[in-house]
Amino acid sequence: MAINADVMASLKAKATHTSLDELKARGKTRVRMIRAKDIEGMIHEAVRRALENSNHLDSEQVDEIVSDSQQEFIQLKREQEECERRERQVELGRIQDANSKLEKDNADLRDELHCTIGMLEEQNQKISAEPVQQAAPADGINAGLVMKMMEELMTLKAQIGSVAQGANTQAAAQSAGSTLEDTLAKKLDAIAGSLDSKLEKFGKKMGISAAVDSDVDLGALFDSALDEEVESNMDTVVLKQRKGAGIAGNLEKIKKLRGEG
Amino acid sequence: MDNEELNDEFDGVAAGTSTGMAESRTAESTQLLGKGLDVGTANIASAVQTDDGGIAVTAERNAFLDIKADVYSKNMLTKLKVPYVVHNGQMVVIGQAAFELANIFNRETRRPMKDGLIAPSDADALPMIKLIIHKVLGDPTAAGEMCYFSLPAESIDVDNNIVYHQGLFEGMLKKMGYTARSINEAHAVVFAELAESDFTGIGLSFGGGMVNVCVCYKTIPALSFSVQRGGDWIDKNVAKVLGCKASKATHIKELGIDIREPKTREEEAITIYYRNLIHYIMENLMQRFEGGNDMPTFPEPIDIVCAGGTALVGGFIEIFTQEFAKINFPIPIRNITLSKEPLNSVAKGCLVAAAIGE
Repeated sequence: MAINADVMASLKAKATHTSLDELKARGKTRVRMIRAKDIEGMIHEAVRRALENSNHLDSEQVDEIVSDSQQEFIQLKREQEECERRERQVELGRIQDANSKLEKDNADLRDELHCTIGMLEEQNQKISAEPVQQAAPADGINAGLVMKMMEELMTLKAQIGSVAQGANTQAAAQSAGSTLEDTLAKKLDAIAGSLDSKLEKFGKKMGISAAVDSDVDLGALFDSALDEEVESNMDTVVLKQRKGAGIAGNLEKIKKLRGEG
Repeated sequence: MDNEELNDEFDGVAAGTSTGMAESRTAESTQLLGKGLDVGTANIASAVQTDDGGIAVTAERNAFLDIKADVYSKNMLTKLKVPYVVHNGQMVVIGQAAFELANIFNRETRRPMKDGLIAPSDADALPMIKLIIHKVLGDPTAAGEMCYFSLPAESIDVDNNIVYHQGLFEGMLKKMGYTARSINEAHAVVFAELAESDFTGIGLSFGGGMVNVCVCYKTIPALSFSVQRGGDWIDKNVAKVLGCKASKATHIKELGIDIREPKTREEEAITIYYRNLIHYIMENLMQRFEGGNDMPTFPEPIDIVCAGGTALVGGFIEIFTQEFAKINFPIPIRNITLSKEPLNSVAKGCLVAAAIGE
């Protein structure tokens, strides 16, 4: 009977497994045992007796109810199984979708990684191929250090300039025949000039030159417009002037920074 | 010399007008010291040293207004000592008077310079600019006197032609008899304002057409750039939202408002655009610092100094400080200050450069 099978299945499902050692550990040395078949028979008998003892039903009606209830139970069980199967399918579909998405993301990341590695290798090859002096700025020269170098060069230039000036003065004061001083003064002048131009070139190369490049002379472009004579009363107009703080302090500070003060 | 005294204005003939040399200074001392010229979108100003150890700044507004050319107008302008030029049969009022007349008649002035630079298309304005420059600068005390003029840095937000601008003013000054050299506008601000910090810090020149930025280490510029937003940009946008002329917005701004406490709708609009401008500058400067490999690393906190006519508005530094606090600036800043003489600063810095004679 199906119902009997279900009772068996229910018993199996509800029953727990345990070992003799575990029972022993709990202090059980002897256990009572009953066969599942006997339990099933007892349940079956109990239901039948309860129906017969109700005095509302005869034996045939009881059999009929038992049979109907069995059918109903089987039907319900099938429906439940079908419902569970559908839910499992939906869940499976969801897991498969998520899995596909993860696989796609993984593939994209893998592609990106390959691409990045390729670019890095390319850059690496380029850097290796470049001459050492060009690679140096990319390695991150400290701009502060460069400025310090510029400062030192400027100080050096100022010192040489003052020495050269001193030598010139001394040479002029002495007799015209003192060729040693003349030569020394000329050499110092040459060194100062050379330092000057190197300093300027270096500054421009590093983009920190103090001077603004003015190589382009566009003066001729505006000759006609600027030479144009116009009638005006500007000469008779008086403009107001504003007073301001002087610049002596600023100049002194700059000279000091350059080692001239 | 206290601030009040520094800001006093005095009437006097502009140094070295076309009538001749400056009378109160010897030719020798002026030749040694040179002159500074601030070529701004809104104003043109010159700076010279005076015998008392101070400086004198002569300025004129860089604006024109075309009016009807007739005998009556000419006589009236002459009588009122309003500067004018007759050019191509047209009468053109020059400078501050043009600005005032434009406001009275609700007209826009002609501005030969736009966004900090002179436009190649404005070549017909050159005779007028030359007259203004000559008026504020005067003749050289001696042939070849050094004159440093301000030059904007290249802009980061538009493609502009600085070479043309530089060439034009160099040519103009040479024709007047000067030895002309240019210096970055914000670098000039550093020369004028940051002596106490060994000329190390950030100079900002808030002009009419542009804001110029220069990061300097011991007089050496490490980073310079400009943005093509300034006082005019504020005026234009205020005018747009309020439906009035830009010169009207300029006028309101120059009446002496305090952007910390805007009282009218117009003042509210001006405040909004001031905040936006300051934020824009600092955001861009921050990006330069963060993005550049060649940015200097300063051993100590540095100062920021602001100058220029656009920074003259009340509460500017307070609003600047508020906007600065909103960004995470990558280098430590010690002080944010406004120049004691915001209108003189660039011309004064040019004068310092001329006096050094670089």
